Amino acid sequence: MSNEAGASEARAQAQGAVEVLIGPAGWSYEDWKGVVYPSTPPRGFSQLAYIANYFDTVEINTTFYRPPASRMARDWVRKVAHNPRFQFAAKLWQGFTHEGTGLGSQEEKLFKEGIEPLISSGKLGALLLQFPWRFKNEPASREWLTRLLDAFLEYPLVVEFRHSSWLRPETLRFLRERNVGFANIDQPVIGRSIPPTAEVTAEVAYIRFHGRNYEDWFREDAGRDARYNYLYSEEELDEWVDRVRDVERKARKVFLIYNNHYGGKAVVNALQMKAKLTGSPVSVPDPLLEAFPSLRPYASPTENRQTELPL
Amino acid sequence: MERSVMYVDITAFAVSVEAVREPRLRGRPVVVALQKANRSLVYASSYEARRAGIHRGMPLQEARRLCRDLIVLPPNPSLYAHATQAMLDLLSGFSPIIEPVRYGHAYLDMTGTRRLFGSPADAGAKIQREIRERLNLEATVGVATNKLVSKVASDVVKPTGLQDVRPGDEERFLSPLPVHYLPGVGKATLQQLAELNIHYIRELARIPLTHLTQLFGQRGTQLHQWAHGIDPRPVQPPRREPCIEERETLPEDTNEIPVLRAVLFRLAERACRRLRQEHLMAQRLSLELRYSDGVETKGEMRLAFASQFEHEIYPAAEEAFAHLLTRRVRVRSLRLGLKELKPMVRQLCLFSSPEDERRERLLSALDRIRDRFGEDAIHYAHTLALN
Repeated sequence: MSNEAGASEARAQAQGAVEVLIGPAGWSYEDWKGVVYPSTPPRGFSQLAYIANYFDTVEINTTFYRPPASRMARDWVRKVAHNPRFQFAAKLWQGFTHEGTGLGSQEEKLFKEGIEPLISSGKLGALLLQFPWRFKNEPASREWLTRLLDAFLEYPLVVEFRHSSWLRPETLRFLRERNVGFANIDQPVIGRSIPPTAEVTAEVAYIRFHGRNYEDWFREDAGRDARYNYLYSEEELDEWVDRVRDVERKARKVFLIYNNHYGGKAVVNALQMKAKLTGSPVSVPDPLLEAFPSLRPYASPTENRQTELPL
Repeated sequence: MERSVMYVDITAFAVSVEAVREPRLRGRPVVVALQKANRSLVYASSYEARRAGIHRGMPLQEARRLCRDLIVLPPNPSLYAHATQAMLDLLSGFSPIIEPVRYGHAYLDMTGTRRLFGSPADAGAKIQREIRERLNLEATVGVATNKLVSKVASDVVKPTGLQDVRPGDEERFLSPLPVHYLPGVGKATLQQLAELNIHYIRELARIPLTHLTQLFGQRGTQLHQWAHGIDPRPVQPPRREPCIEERETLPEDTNEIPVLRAVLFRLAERACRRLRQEHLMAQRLSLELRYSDGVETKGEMRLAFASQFEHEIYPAAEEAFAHLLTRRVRVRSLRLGLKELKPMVRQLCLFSSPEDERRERLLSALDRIRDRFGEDAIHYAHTLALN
């Protein structure tokens, strides 16, 4: 173990309990109706509030597509208020990460104003900079990354690289020096894609599960749903338990985000992992239990389950 | 007592300091220049680059043409400042009167140190050895009875020599040298002198003072003195402005803003307590952040009114901090300086706010508790996490 890793482990232990937050990436999917959510939701039903009954985190997708309105962010905070442990992980707007634009622009201001309610309420646990596969470890990319990190210096940042050229000690040292988390990812390992890792470079550690749909991952005409249509097997989840334990020892807060969202599979795997890590049964939404009977061994008895109605 | 002045010049300073950090640069043609600027100029160069015809002030594009495998490094002022400080710390063991000139160069007044360090030449050799062993750098040393001749002596024996000009030999030493060896004789003066067919210092020394003042005005007097090896300027250590300074190196580098603010508050608390103990007020503050990669950033701010209270000084320090913290990199240390100190004058205010009076009473009570039970006897809650 390196000195730095040893120091971070000692620090994490000295600071007491580590928060492990498990949840899906996004909550608004058509194909979750009748699988994750009730097929006929009651009046005033909120999908986000419902998700916060079962999980302590969710990754916000919409911030990736456009800077959010602060009114919307305030509404998100209100909807998860019944779960005091709950913290959001938000994705940085794609203009910054995919188009290499936006710094110093109106969008940067809008983005920061938009997520302000998450900051002021203490509900933003991580801000994820997700870079595409084509963002390789090159001088121009490194310069852009440095500028981005400086521009968002007051946020709990995590960086996700997809290209393996970044998986080098210098990158980890660079992130460690800036207290920026490295997003460990589970994705189909094809060519120069990043393989599964358990790196911790900051107080916030992050693991994203994209599924292992080798057939559709790089297929040009594969839609988002096909790419993320994958259910991890028991064995595949078990492989991660030890890695998560290792990460827990070195971090103050660990996010486990399931992005294999198609057909509610992210929710299934997230609940399974939660049960495996806590060693206790978990509350499972009824429709999901019907759609995935394999969840039964993990489900807590009905009478002990939390309410599925939004509060 | 005979004056003895020494000039110490670290060989190819900027490049050599970089090579201490990165030994692979040794023996390679290296220059320091801004790479992004279109018409960037060479700021410093290694001797290998100089052998290829590259010199300070040359356009970078031209330097690249002269040397295909040229290594270009960006200027790193904080590294140079640290290395210069290390050099000055080392030199302070040899003389209490040191005048830093620029990065990596300094004059030392060695008058009266013979019994401690031997002859000036022996002391110079000792300094060269210590610089080599402790800093891993090479130095040129010039020894003479004044600043001018010591500087020229060191220039003559670059890059690593030691030149001792004995008392009385000053003029004889300078006379065969070309006039460009005299400090401050640049292109324009050289051209003027060349028009008079003056190329060597001995030729300059032969021109009567009246002619030189006619040609160069007041500067003529100095040129005349210098040509004869005369320089009455004393070695002058930089004047230090009175300042109350508090610094803290964090137990673990961090960029968590609440932690950094708490440290800053503690620095303000300590500095203000010292102000009160010395019955002073400060009108200006300076703040310096040092990041874990060694980069430093500094700022100063004038306070709206002089104060000795942390509740008045801390908000300004926090504002300076917000301006300075522009990088995501973890911070290693903070230094708060309070300047423009003046004696405490109790301003009687017609409309003094009860809130201010209450705060001042509180601070005076805190001071009394600390006087009696020690500095750590009482803290504000938001700084407790740091202990």
